[in-house]
Amino acid sequence: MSAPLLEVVDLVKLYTLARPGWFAPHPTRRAVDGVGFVIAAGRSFGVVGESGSGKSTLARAIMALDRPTSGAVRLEGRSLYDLPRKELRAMRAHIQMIFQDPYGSLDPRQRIARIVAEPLSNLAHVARAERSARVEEALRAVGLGAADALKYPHEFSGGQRQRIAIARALITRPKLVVADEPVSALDVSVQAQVLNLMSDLQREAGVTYLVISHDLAVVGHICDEIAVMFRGGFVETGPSATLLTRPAHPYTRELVDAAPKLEEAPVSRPEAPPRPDAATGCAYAARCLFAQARCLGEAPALRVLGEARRVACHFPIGG
Amino acid sequence: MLLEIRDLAIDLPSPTGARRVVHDVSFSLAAGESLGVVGESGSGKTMTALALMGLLPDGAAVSGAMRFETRDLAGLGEAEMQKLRGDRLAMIFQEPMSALNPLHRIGAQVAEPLVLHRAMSKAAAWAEAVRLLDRVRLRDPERIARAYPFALSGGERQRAMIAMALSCGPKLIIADEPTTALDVTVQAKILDLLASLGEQSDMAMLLVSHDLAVIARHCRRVLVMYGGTIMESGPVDAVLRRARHPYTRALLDARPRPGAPRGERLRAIAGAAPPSVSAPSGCPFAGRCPLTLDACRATPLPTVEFEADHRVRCIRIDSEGRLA
Repeated sequence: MSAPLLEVVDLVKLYTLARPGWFAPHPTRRAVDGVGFVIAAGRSFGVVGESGSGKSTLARAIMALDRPTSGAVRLEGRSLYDLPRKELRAMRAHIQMIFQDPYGSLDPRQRIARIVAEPLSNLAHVARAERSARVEEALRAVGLGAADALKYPHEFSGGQRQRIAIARALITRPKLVVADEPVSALDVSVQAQVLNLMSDLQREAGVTYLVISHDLAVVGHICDEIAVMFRGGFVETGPSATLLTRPAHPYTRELVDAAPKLEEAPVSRPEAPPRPDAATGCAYAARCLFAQARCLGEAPALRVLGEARRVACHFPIGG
Repeated sequence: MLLEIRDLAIDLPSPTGARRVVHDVSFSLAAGESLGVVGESGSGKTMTALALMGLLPDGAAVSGAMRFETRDLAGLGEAEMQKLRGDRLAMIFQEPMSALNPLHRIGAQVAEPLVLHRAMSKAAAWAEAVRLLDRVRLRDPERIARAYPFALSGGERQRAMIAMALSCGPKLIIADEPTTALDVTVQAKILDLLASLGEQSDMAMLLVSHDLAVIARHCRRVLVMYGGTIMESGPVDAVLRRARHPYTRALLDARPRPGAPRGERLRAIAGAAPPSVSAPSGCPFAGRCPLTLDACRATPLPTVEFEADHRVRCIRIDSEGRLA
């Protein structure tokens, strides 16, 4: 394995909530609670979780859009949050983002050329001639032509718009592309085009991806490694194939079973007995089918479980 | 038959004249049956559902017959439609937050159809609402009834919507992407709940979704729509395991398969779905379809029937399922 491109160390993001009384202290919510992982250059890492699990907060911290409460994000060994403002700006050009909604993320009043060239403004100086050459190159990489540079977003379909968004993300030749639900807003027939394009770009241009999604099939398709996030923390990480076929954490198992599949009969799942949310124990205990007394009293730490897998559970499945 | 649709066509007004968004749609639904309608954006699936509820946008023109129980829905005025809606016919929408009134307690909203259609007193309707909230397996239904929509999670809101839709014991429930906005773990529970409630009370369900797997799991029959019309229909097993229409096959092949090697090339469908069909002559999938011939664009769609009830509309496939 090569040296890590991205290193996230013990990241914590607290949000302060409204205080319940005039003189009461502000309660806080741990949106991201001590998350750490590394991504090697040219690999892809997926984060799966439900709404409210903290996956988007994590993405924002990695994009240096939101300063975390504590912890570090290092790109090629340089800590983003310790950089002077000017250097951070230059660093940002190396991390690009693909958003979920290709309708909302492209300015309808700008031509494609200007939209795609926009991230270049974070680079020190790119001459005008080089600028248009780079736009053409980026559009070609996503299967669009140079003539498309003069059009406006409304002239394209949803799938084409998402390809334009990918061209924009690639124009700085970024080291890391963060994709937040890159295909959830697209129709099935168009999803495949965009997923193929993402795989091609990784193979040909060595792009490194951090993919954030609620869709296990999509993440399993693009990513080498997956982390499952629940209430701000990773509950399981491991190679995609193992994690999806032999989940060790009961929550991963719940996600895998709940995803509708064509190929297999549905797994009917008994309801967990109602339990109060444990203040001290495992965050998942209240929903867990296998929870025992220890789970309510003591929060499990993320520990190694063979085959490069880590799991935060006192009683992992099959282990 | 509970519901029988014949030659449904819908035109929507647009700046350039009427735009035909649904054409040539015929299907039927027996009491207690579950039918899935699958399609991409622009396939006409939502417009078909809205036409049944009499909720199409202003200026829409509907032709064809929509027989529900003893009435033709296409011929009903708004006042008569209002009597049916929420009573014999109910609908569940994708986003419960926009379908619930934020200023009224959940209990009052679930009770409203009972006051309206059953002339119940407010107190009796409230008691019934609490019972309904319990029936959709909301924990602590009394507390939920007193709560306002903002205080509920997405899954709880969708359950409350279902309770409201079920209040008068409808014979047909139309669910348009009822779980698309919810997390997968919640999604499975809500759909299982709907299916089991349907079985208990002999209620038919029309489930509209973009997700084939969701329909495979929760429906007995399926219609595959594209470009405003039906491409293939039949029992879920037949359509998904022995898909005949090139579009259904393409749709099945385009999905990432669980357990496939990572980064395996997906068989994408080239091009994009037509935004609408202005002049429905020939097959709307022509051009994107790998089997396209010139005749596909010119010939009206035939209907080829295979084994019991499995129908395909394609000139390239014969009744044996071979390339014609």
